Amino acid sequence: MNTIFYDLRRTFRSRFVIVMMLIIILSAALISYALTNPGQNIPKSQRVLNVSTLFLIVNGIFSVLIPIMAIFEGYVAYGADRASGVLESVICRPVTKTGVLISRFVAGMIAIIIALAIAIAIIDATALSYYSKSLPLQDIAALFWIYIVEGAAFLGLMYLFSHILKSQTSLIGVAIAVFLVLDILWTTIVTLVAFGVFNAGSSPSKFISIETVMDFISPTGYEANMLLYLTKETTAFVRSSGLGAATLSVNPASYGVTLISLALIGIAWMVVPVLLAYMLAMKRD
Amino acid sequence: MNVNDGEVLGFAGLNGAGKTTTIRMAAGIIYPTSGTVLVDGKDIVKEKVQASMNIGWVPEFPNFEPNAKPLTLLKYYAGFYGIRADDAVRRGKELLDMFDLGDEVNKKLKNYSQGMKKRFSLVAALLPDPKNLLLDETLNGLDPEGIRFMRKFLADLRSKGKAILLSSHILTELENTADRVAVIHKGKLLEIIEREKLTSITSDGGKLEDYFFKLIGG
Repeated sequence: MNTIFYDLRRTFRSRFVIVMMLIIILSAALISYALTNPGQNIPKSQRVLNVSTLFLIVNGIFSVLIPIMAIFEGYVAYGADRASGVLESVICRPVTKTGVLISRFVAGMIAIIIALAIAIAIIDATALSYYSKSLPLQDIAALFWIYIVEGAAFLGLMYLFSHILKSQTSLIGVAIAVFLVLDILWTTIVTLVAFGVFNAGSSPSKFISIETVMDFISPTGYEANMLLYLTKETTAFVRSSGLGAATLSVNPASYGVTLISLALIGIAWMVVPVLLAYMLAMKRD
Repeated sequence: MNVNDGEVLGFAGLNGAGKTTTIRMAAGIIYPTSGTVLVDGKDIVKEKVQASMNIGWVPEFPNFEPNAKPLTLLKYYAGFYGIRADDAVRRGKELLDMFDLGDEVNKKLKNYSQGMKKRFSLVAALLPDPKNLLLDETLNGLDPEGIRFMRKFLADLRSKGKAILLSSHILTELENTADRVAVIHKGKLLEIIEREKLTSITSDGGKLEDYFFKLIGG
């Protein structure tokens, strides 16, 4: 318990964590502002909250911010200390390596969860005030779940790579690569694979099939599959008459996106990377 | 290889012989590929928490949380041993004064020099008053005053019944400080030179260094 209290205090004293939390909260405030249809004077009775649109806006922003926070939190709280030898000054105390790993991981997750909770509370409070309607509980739960999975996955990946790589420089390099490949460039990679490898350009349903399968192998893609499940809409690339994108209504279950598959893969993303790091900490060091 | 209570076991070897690796294994930092390390009967791998209760480790190049201040970090370390925060601060201040760091308590550890970090490492190791100390090249880089202080300090710890493993490649220092000297070469323990033998080696103007090189075939 000693280590978790200290690690929590240490996490919330980190300038980087505080800045990231503030950015996430500020972006929630901006999303909230956009929700109020600025510049339009819509009578209260005609205001309709479009949850699908809200999810797409939140997704566009949080799918970048949460991974950044998780990756650098993982680097600062664990990876850098492990590579520099600072962690050894703790491990030599009456504590196990895995105890330190879990304590720091939990402290990092708590920071992410607090940032998310405040951000979602701001959005919900705005919805309540402007639309006189709170967000449905299942949508709030879904938003939480998506970004907790994403945060835990990227944080866990950083812990895992911290046990594979030996230097701070290589760890920073991998952190950037993980962020680019699994987050920023993920949609592009999926599209290129669908077109280049599977020739799915002329068939939206083939494209969606490939997209949903590939999206399960990236935390950011997982978020896309969650949105597909929630909104039952996706954007498929087609080139029937030139390259273009179309928003299509689909049945997620026909592409394997069900509550069970999402729950299982979400749990796997939260648990597997940090579990592998845990195993390496036990066996390899 | 045993380190008995109330003795300083010198640990000699060339660079890369395995001194630091052995000490890191004994401190529970790395796992042994074979064999076991027992600290007062507790296995450092299987009973890490209990075994570490009685170990103080001073690495050759200590690294600490760069943004922490010494007393904050000592309070954190103390928590692992069940030492109350106010007791940790009191003992921490005593030890910091003893190692001439009393005036540096408001500095962050990233602003400490390597020598100061080494002294702080001794403070951190001694905080829980462990029965066993692992000192890795602690005499290295000390000025004559520092070496004299350390000799006296080690003698004091020995008289209190502490078991001390002191690695060094400064053989003359081990001659003066250690009760016995274990010689390691290429990962193998070649001999533990007992006090009587150590005395006889050095009594007729001989040197531990000559015996050491004969032992490793150098």
